[in-house]
Amino acid sequence: MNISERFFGRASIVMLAVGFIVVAALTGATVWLTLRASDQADWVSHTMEVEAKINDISALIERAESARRGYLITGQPADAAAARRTTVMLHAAATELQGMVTDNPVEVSRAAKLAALIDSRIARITRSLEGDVAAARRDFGTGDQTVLAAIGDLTGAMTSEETSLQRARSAAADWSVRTLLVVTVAAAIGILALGLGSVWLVRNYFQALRRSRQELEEVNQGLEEAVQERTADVLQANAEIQRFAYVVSHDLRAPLVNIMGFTSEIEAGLGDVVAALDAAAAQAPDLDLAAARQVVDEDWPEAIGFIRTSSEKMDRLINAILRLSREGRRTFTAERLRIGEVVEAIVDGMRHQIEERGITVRVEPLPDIMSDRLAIEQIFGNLVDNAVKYLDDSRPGEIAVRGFDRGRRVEFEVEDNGRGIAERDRERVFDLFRRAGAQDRPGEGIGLAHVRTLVRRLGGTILLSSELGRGTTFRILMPKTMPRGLQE
Amino acid sequence: MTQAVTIVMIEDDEGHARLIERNIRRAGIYNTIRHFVDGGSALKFLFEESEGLLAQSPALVLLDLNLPDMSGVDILARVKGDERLKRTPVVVLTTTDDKTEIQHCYDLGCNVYITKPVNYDSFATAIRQLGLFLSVIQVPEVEA
Repeated sequence: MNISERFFGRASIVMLAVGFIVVAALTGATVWLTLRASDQADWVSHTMEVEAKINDISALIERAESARRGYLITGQPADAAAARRTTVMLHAAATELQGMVTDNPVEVSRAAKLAALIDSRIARITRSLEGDVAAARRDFGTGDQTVLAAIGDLTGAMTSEETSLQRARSAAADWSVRTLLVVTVAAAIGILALGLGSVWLVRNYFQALRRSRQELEEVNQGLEEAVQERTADVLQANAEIQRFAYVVSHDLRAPLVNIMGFTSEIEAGLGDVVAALDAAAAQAPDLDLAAARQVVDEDWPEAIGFIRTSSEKMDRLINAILRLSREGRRTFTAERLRIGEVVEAIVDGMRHQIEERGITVRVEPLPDIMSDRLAIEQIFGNLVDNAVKYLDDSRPGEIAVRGFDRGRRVEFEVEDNGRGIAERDRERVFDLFRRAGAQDRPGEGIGLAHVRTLVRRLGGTILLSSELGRGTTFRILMPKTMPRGLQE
Repeated sequence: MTQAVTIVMIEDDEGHARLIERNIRRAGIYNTIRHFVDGGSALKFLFEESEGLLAQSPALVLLDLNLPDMSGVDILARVKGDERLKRTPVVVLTTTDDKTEIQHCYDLGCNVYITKPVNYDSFATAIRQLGLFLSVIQVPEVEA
């Protein structure tokens, strides 16, 4: 599954939030349930204390009764004292019990009744101990059983009440503990699930990242190969064109030597023909030699003149092609070039012309590259020279040279505010022997063709944007380091 | 240059050959000129024929590099690599002015390298000066 960055961001925030909520809820529940359980445990032990107190009271009653009975039988003052001590304890226990059961109204009234019954019992026992043993003996046994039975009933009711209370409270405490366990286990499962979810999410996200990085690398690799193949193709084609240009220009020269040579021979022979005509005219004045004279005096010299100027022009063009092909076959050597210095040197070389015509040349900071010095000098030399040459004389000339670092490539711009190049000429100006606009400046139409050949050989491209009458910008994109294939 | 020296001109362009011959004659050189338009027949004359160069008088070779059947450089190498012919002066007279080509020819033992000027006046002047040069140089005798 592919995970988008957005989905990953959202999902991780949701998971984090859910995790926080679960942990917070778990903490709250734990605290609450723990407090509740300990509270209920307290109540259970309280209930047990109450039961124990009730049992104490029953036992104390038995002890008081038996001490009273002992006194009545023996008449010993020690027995009476024991009975009195017991009744004091009994009274205290009854009062304590009343204090202990304040949480339960039913038990409160029972405890009050019990205390009253006990107090009446204590009063009766106390009366029996006052010294008149005979009267006490007579009194013993009357109505005692009913009161004792009532006390027994009350303590029994209270005990069973407390027992059921204890059971209920124990159950509640158990529930709290069990609930706490369940909540903890559930929360643990939830956190575990969240954790697993997060791990899954992160793993998938990283896998997706790795995959896309791999794809990117593959694409890059492919691009690199494509570029290398393309460069090799271009270099191959370039080399073929160079060879072709060399052979053609060379082979064109040989016939040209003949054309020019034999034209000169004809011209040289023309003098003899003129002399012969003169001699003929002197010997035979009747002959009509006007047509022949016209030919040797005007037509042939004119024809020879045309042949000569044409062949001289052809010679210049062939020389230009030869020069280009020789440049093209030159082996490039890469070296570190401070383009800023190279361009400054070119501008300095033209300083005289620039100052005389009041031209502003701005060379902005330019990135350094690894390339062939001569080729780069020729490229910038031609571009700056063109910019100066084709300025519009009606306004002050402005030329700017700029450079930009584009990662593995660099971009250079040579901008002028000259006369511009019409749209139909924008491709043509890069062709050999083609020039744009008014043919009022010297030149053979070689410069830009040469520049484009050099830029391509360096593995770059050259583009131009221009507006007629406003100016032209040449833009060169080339590798920061010259491709290896060009070096030896 | 003694009358006996034969000039062997290896030049595929008939027009060039004619212009060269005329201008050499104009410089006052009247030695026999044997003209070959391809490398094959020239090599045959130089090395094989019973009445070939070796059997005859000493010679001087005028060599064009761009021949239809082989490169003049190969002929230069053959001549300079041959025990009997290596002292024969070879004047390379061609349209090529490529630096590496010129170096290569001198490395192979070429004696003079002249680039044919396209401008005819210069061409004629160059050939006439070559003729003047030929009139004073000494050519070694053929070793039997």
